[in-house]
Amino acid sequence: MAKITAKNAILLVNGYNLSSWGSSYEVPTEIDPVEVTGFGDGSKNYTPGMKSGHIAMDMMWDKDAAAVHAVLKTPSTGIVSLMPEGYALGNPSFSLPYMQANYLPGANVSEHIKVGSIVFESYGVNVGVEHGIALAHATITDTTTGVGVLVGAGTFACYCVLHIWDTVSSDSYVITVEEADTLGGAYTNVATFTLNGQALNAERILVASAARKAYMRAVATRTGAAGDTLGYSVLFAHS
Amino acid sequence: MTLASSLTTIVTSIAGLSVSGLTIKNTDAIPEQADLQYPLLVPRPNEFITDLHSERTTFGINGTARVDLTYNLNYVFLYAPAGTGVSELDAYSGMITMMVAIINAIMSNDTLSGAVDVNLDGVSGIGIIQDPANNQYWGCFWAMHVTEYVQP
Repeated sequence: MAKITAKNAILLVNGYNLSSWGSSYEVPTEIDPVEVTGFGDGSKNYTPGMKSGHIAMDMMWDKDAAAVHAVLKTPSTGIVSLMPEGYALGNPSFSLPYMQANYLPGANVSEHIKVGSIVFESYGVNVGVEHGIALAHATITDTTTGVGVLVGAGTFACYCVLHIWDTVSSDSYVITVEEADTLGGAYTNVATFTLNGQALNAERILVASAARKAYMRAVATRTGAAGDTLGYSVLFAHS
Repeated sequence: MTLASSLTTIVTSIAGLSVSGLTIKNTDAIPEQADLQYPLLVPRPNEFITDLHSERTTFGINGTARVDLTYNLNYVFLYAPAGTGVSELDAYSGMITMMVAIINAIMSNDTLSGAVDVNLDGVSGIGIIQDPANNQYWGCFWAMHVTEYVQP
């Protein structure tokens, strides 16, 4: 596999696309090692303990509306997602229900003003960082049916994430995740988001473990005729 | 989206600086000879822009990233014709005085329109130099280091 440039990364924080202010990120997942060394063992040894994870992003300062300072100055909760290779259907994604742990404006006289490394810690009962794929990341003006992505059939829980980063004013959308046995087969509903595209926001749906089909796709169905522009991302992960 | 450098705006801003007794020219007004126009500070026709460097500072492609753009703008300072005055060095003191005024003007105007920062990055060739018509003048060469934050 060839090296992949990092410059295409897409950073989404609760519906705000902050990519062009982000300069670096990291997505560590750690497991606490619980020592179980006993007498007679030749070496210390461990068993897996609790898992932990967070997403951290270094950002530039910007005081404009819907930019870094306005979005992050008051630490809050929400959904953060990251597409490390940028968007193409099926590209890898990381998502996390978060509690923002800090906000660190600072500067060196010869550099840009920065807001430091913002840490998004896991929030609520969840599995930590969700390693998934991108089903959609686009601007649309009408109903759009995405192409299915092979995730493999199995029994698993689904974590469906939606970010609305460019809103419609008079139109509204119903955005769903659907599944099918084959790429061109009949698709049925997995999850329906409540966000209708009229406000910047993000939403995560946990679908309890059940038998799931091999292909997943995102569908955005428009109500209205204005043809407003909707900017949205749909990310899918499973247990 | 498109990223756009403000280089032409910055060069115009430099031409608009006020230094008593000095005429500063823009790139569209470089004289072929300095007769009756000195003291002059003009863009150096050969190698006007050097040390150009762009550095991506954020994520984003196709005009959506933030880029730091730095470069040197090189100028020629023509103070007075060689041989001015009774002795060969009569013009020298006045030239140094005006060079200090140029330094002060740059130091006091480091956020010219279009630029995040403008600093002096060296002076060279203090002595007898030539205008484009090969006439000899007391003068020198200046390098001004420009920093732009180019943003979508």
